[in-house]
Amino acid sequence: MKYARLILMTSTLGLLVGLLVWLGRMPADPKLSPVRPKSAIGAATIPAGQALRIGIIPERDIFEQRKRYLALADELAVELDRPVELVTCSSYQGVLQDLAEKHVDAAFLGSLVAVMAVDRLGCRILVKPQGVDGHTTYRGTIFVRDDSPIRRIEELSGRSLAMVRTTLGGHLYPMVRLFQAGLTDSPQSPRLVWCGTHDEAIEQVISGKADAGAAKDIRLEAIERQHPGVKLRRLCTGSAVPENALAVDASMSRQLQDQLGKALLTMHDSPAGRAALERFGAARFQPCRIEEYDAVFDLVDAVRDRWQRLNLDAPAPNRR
Amino acid sequence: MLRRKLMLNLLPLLAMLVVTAAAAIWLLQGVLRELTQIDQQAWSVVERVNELSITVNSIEVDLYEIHVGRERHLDRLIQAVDQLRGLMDEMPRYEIIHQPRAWSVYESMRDRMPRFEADVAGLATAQDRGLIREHTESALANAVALRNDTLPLSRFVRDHAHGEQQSLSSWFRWLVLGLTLAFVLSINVSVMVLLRMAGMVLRPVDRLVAAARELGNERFDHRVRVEQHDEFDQLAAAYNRMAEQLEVSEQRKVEVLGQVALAMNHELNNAMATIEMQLQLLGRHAGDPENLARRLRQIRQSLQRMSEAVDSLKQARRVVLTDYIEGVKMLDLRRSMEPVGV
Repeated sequence: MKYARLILMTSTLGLLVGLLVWLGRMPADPKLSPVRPKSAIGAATIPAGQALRIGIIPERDIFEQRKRYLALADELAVELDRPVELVTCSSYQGVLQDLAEKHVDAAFLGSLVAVMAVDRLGCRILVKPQGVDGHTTYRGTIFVRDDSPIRRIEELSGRSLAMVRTTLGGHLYPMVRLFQAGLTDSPQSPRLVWCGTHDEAIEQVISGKADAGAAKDIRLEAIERQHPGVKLRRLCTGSAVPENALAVDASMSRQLQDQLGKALLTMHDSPAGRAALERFGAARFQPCRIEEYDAVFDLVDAVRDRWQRLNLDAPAPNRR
Repeated sequence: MLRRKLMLNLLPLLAMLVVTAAAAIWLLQGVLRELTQIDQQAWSVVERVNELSITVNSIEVDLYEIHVGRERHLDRLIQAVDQLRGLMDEMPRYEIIHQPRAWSVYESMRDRMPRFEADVAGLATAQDRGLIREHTESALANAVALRNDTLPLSRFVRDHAHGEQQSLSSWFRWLVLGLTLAFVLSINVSVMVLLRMAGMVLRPVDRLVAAARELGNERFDHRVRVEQHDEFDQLAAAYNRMAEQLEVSEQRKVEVLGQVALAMNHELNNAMATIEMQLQLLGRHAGDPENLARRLRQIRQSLQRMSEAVDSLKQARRVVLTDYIEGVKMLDLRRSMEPVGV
């Protein structure tokens, strides 16, 4: 009884002291500690080692685009057991320059830039993405608003045309069509508005700032899906060419090329890989070869004698 | 029972003191927490606003470098815009931003962001002079507006924090005053409770001590009255029982003494009457009348003393002893006749 009373008293005293200490040292409201938003950049655990630098081109909203590629880069870093850095160029020519100056080891390139990279720099095309809807190719297209009076290419005379420099859909294809329609030598030739991305070219047409636009068809379809109220009419559409493929620098070791290709081609096999691909906007990657770019060379051949007028700051690429 | 009573008084007192102390700590800590919150929020918001302004500057510098050809990569620019967006998204986490004046400024800044981002994105990649000019003008206008908005926001946050701190200081002064009063009240209540508890012990003890003194003075009829229903009550009852028993015992002794006296009275008086009668007869027939008369007078005196002693025994009210010889007590007849308390 005596011990029980002693234990009871000691426990009560301990509880009281504990309560007072707890009250005295009560932590501050967690809401007070503002948590800095975690940047998407560097969110994944990147292993140490020499970084693999991958160039990307400004095809759409550069902020959204970087997030998409970042998901892919993080997964690749895990697969390759080395850091993967993204290098976003302000222009399509810039990616070529980066490849030439070894600022990047590989790059996701549009079909025209890919052909030029293979031709000028000896790059090797490894893989191309397969979209969620199954597409692996795209086409160049010239379009107008649905309410536009323009019905034919020839009617672009004296009108403004939004284009995207150094791209097949936004530059080479529309120029070929303009040459073929005889609109380039006329004093009433269309006024060319050079946009930075396909999305911006489309936006120029939607907003009425440009009478017509030239861009890749899959971006056009994507915007039409996102904005059902937007009605656009295609004036003409070119042949299919591979979607933005990964080209690697010629100096990259064959082993690393194989590792990189394998990592991308098998990415859809793992849950983490599928999640990364989903964020990237693709179902999987497929092998890609330069032979699949025949449609690009066809267009190049169509304007070979007037290549300089394209202002692409490079000689016309040749078939291999 | 007494322990229970003491505990019943002590525990509420202890609980009151603990609750008062806990409430005081809680309230003071609340004030400190609010002060810290205001301080942290104000500094954090001002810091974020400054970061926002610096980020806008950085974006402008990046755009300039891209367009003069010093930089062809957009990563730093993208990160800066991401950071800007993150800062804007972070702002509503601070309660201070939800104040009407701050919120209107914040909404204005937030509404500018999509256009600013679109202009920055367009400007970063545009290659057409007209587009560049258009994006530049729009982006610069938005950047200037964003930076301009940061100034009143910072000023408001500082003013608001200052006002809140003043209000809190005033509340703190009242709180200290209130707590002081509460503690003074607690101390007073504690003293009163402790005095009551002391009274619970001292009052019956005093009565018992006084009763013991009465018992020492052989006042066996004295009784203690304690109505506390505790150990003291039991002690008083025990004392009263003991006094009662002593009183009964004393009374019985006196009664026995009276009975002894009666017996002696009966036996001695008869004997003495006989002796007296015989002495009277002897006196009438004595030869030496003078000597005989003297002797007879002495016998009568002795008989008189015996008679008085028996009378004393009959009148005894209590038993009072006195030393007869060393180690032997005898009844003090004179004092036994005196009333109690003399």
